[in-house]
Amino acid sequence: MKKILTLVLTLSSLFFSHSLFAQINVVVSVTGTVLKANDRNPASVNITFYDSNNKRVGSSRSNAKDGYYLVTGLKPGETYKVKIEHPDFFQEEVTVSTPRTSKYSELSRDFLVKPLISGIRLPLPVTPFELNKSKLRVGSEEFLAETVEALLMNPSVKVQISSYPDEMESKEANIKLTRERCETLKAFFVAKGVSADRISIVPSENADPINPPPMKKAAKGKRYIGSTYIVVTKI
Amino acid sequence: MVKSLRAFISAVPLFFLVVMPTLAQQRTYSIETVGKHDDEVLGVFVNEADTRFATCSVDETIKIWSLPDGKELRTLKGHLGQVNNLSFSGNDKMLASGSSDRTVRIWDVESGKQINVLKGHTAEVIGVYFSQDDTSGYLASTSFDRTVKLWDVKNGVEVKTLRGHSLQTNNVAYSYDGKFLASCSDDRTIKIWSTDPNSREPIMSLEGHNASVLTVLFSMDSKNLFSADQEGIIKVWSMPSGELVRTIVAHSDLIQDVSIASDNKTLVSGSLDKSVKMWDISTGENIMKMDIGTEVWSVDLVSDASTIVIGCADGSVRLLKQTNTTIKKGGK
Repeated sequence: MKKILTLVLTLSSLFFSHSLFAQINVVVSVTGTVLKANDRNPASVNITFYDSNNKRVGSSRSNAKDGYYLVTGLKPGETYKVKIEHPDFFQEEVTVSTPRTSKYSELSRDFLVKPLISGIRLPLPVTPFELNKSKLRVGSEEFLAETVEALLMNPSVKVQISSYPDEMESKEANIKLTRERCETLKAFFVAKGVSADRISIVPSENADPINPPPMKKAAKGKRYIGSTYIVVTKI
Repeated sequence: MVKSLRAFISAVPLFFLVVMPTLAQQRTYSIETVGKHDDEVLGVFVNEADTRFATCSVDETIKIWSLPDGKELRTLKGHLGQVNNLSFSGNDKMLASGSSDRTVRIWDVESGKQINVLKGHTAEVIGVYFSQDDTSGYLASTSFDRTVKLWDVKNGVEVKTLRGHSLQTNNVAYSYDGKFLASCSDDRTIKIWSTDPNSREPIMSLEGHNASVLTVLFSMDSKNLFSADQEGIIKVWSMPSGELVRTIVAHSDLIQDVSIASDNKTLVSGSLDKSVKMWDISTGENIMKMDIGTEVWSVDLVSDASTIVIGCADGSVRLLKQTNTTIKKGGK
């Protein structure tokens, strides 16, 4: 009986240690492209992965030609903090989770980085306003979170919120709408911890010269909404 | 003389056989603005009994009005974004609305109270349609998240999600026999789905539009499906075969809404070309055209088409009431 028990225990430990060994040796890589948020051109930045113990586990520098990067040696089923750093860009931090797998796996993740250049216009990832409205649309907090993080991680940067009107109304109506939008967005950032004196606002009575409204009305739910930008004013 | 008279008399039936079919019944309507929303009116829906209609707007509200007088009865508030579409239940007791706040809401028509909020879509809800049986146990919705969702109305839960469109879905409609659902999309197709709860794949995909298909609607006898697109084209499809029966170059701008009368052949369309038009679907002939002066987002009509309700981009809600019917030479 003892011999059988010993045999079972030995076999079990061999099995689990083999699995563990297999698990230990499984490597996940993260690869992708780094592009500039303003013009989608490739950017060369340092990308560093930190594990849950804040230990640096991997790093790479994205290629200036095509923005390509590869970080390998990561473990499956883990969540990593990724720091994106370069003196010419906003310092940013994102979270990347690797899949649970028992064999080599590559995960794709692209990054948009915000250049630290005075005067540069950074569009928000998704317009936070509905047509003719100045309150934040439902769900906008989620995609504004990235902008909030970037502002909090770069406390010396001052920005301007620049807003353009929807389909052209009177100048008074346009200024009213865009001013309210700027103020709504500023209030949101301040509520999330960004100092108010870092944010100025610039409403506009005229159409966005870079992305002007179309000549014809679009279908329901797809109408043109004036752009809102974050403009870097001081680094 | 007698011979001539005989020849004339014998030709009279021939006249009616040959000439009369080319003459179409033209209808004329008067127009009246009955009220306004604070912003563009995106949806209109007349109830089954032709006693009420509802409108929805960019101003995030829904209004209920009486027919035939067009008196505003109440305003429903609760959505957190523009309200894109509406549907009365088959028994006229409930109203469903879809909004850019990503929710579908169910309202009690008489009290105006919100009964349920259906959450699940991950983008703007553009189309809603109750199943048209008496209990209206199910509701379908479409969204810019590319899906069609079916909801159990009584329990307020999602029953299934239909995935098949490759781009944003724009509208959905139940057939009146309860067997099919049709959805339309920016991918330029219309997909026909079974209402069987276990079925998740489209039965067929109707192709032929050359632009985003913005709306679909079954005829009341479920024998035809109507669709309209971004280029102002209306198509008529035979159901359940899916065969294209007719293409009508209807408007010079997009058509966001169409509606069918109970005769199953009188179709009305509203367009951003600022006009409302009526068609005899059996011949494809235009039997009414009215310039509204502002973009028309939504149309619906009472069963006999004697009254048309339209929702306009200037926020106005207007009634078109039939004044007379004349026989004029038809065709293009």
